[in-house]
Amino acid sequence: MTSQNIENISEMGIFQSLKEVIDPELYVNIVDLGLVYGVILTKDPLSVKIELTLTSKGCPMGDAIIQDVEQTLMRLYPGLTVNVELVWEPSWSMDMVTDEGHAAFNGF
Amino acid sequence: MFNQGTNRAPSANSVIPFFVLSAVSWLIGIVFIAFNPDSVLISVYFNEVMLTITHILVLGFVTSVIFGALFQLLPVIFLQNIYSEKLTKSIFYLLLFGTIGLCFSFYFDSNGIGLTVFGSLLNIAVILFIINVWKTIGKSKENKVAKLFIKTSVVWLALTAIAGLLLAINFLIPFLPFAHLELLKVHAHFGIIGWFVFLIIGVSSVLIPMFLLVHNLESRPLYFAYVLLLSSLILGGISKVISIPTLMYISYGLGVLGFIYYLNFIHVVYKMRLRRKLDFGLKKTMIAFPSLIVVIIGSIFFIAGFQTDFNLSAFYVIVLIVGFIATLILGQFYKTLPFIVWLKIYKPFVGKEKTLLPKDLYNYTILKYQFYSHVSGFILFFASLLLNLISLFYIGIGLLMIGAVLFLINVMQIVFHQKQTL
Repeated sequence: MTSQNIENISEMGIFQSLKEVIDPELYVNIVDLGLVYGVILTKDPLSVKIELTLTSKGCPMGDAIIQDVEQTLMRLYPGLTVNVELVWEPSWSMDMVTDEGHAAFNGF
Repeated sequence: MFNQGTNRAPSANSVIPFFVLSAVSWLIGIVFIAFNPDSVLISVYFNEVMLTITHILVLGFVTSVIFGALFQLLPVIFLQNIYSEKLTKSIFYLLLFGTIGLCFSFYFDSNGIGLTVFGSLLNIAVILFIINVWKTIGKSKENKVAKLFIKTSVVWLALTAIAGLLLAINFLIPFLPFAHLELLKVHAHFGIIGWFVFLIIGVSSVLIPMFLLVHNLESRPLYFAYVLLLSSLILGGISKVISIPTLMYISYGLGVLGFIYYLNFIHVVYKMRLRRKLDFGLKKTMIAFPSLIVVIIGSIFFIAGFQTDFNLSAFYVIVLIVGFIATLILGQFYKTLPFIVWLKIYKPFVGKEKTLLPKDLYNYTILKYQFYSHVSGFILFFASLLLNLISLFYIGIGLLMIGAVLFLINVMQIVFHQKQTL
């Protein structure tokens, strides 16, 4: 499973994998929340840069979310170097939330 | 790794005791009120039981949780390291023993020596707290409005503590050149408006928009609120000391306007919120704000000289503490304590395995019933004060007590949570 992940690694695959990361306050995954702005994969050496935003600059759960992104990807893709870059432009808004995110958001 | 703030906070073990003390004090305070209806309904101002209840609530319940929450939140809000963890722990013990000793001293005939000794302990706690807060905030350029309100609030806390100590010493050796009741009123208003309200406005100006997902807010109404409330407090203090009634009217007018500006800010946040559906922790937070309207009306009626069975100035102070401050705190408990405990227990495992979420650390049904019993309880309790109805008083305080017990159950469930594997 893991070696297959590495062989078939792609930006879209990594993006989908990030659905495992849940915002601990909003109970919605960060992909459907629209927090993942970019996934840039480099194959040699194997590394990925995740451009991530947060719903607010002083989000108390920011550290935990960043750690979750790093650890989740390192667990799913052993050997992959993960760099998370926090970005604030464009600032996050509800327009970035997917339909699934909206459904989860209001279903609590 | 980019440090977003929680890594700069003190360890969970040094802030959790503040939350436990607060939750226990809330229940004790409510039980005291329930067993002493006469002290509350009849001779509300200056009696030993009322002073005991007030200090259990303002020191044990409110100040304790504010201290704990601030030590956790300041590093997040201002992106600074906490200045000293050792100070954080010392402050807790000083606050704990100071509060217990002071309340016992009040309860047993307002013992002057006890009041002075334990009042001094509390003054030391306040000095250490101010050092920890000012040094932590430092020269941070983040959240300027919050910084202004929080820094000012701790100055008012210092003035409140000093006024309290002067009153205690005056019990031992009467030395005040004016009626000590006037200094007591100043002490109460400095503490409740200057310390609690300024602090709450500062912190809520960051947290409420953050939880409700609102960005790019106009900060001018908060600056207006700041100037108005500050002027109100200063003029109010002067009017008491040098007995100029006109100044007191101006002071009340400015204070009411300041509250209106703050309420308007919160109203705008609520209207603009992207998070439409609120959980019960946030519902409880938001339901605190309408009680400020009752405070405003109560204070206007008081200053206009309306006569009611119950002293209106005591009424609006009780609504401010039990309706606004306590309700806000009981709601925000669920937005702080579960996260602190969750970070302590689950952060090392985040991403490595499936973990519970902070909301899984407490019983949501208990929170729901706590919400209903607290809100219905405080409405009936306030009505009983105004109407002087003892039966309504018992129903209201009974509901508040049920809410306080449910709250304590949830708090203990969070605090004693053990790691679970999914």
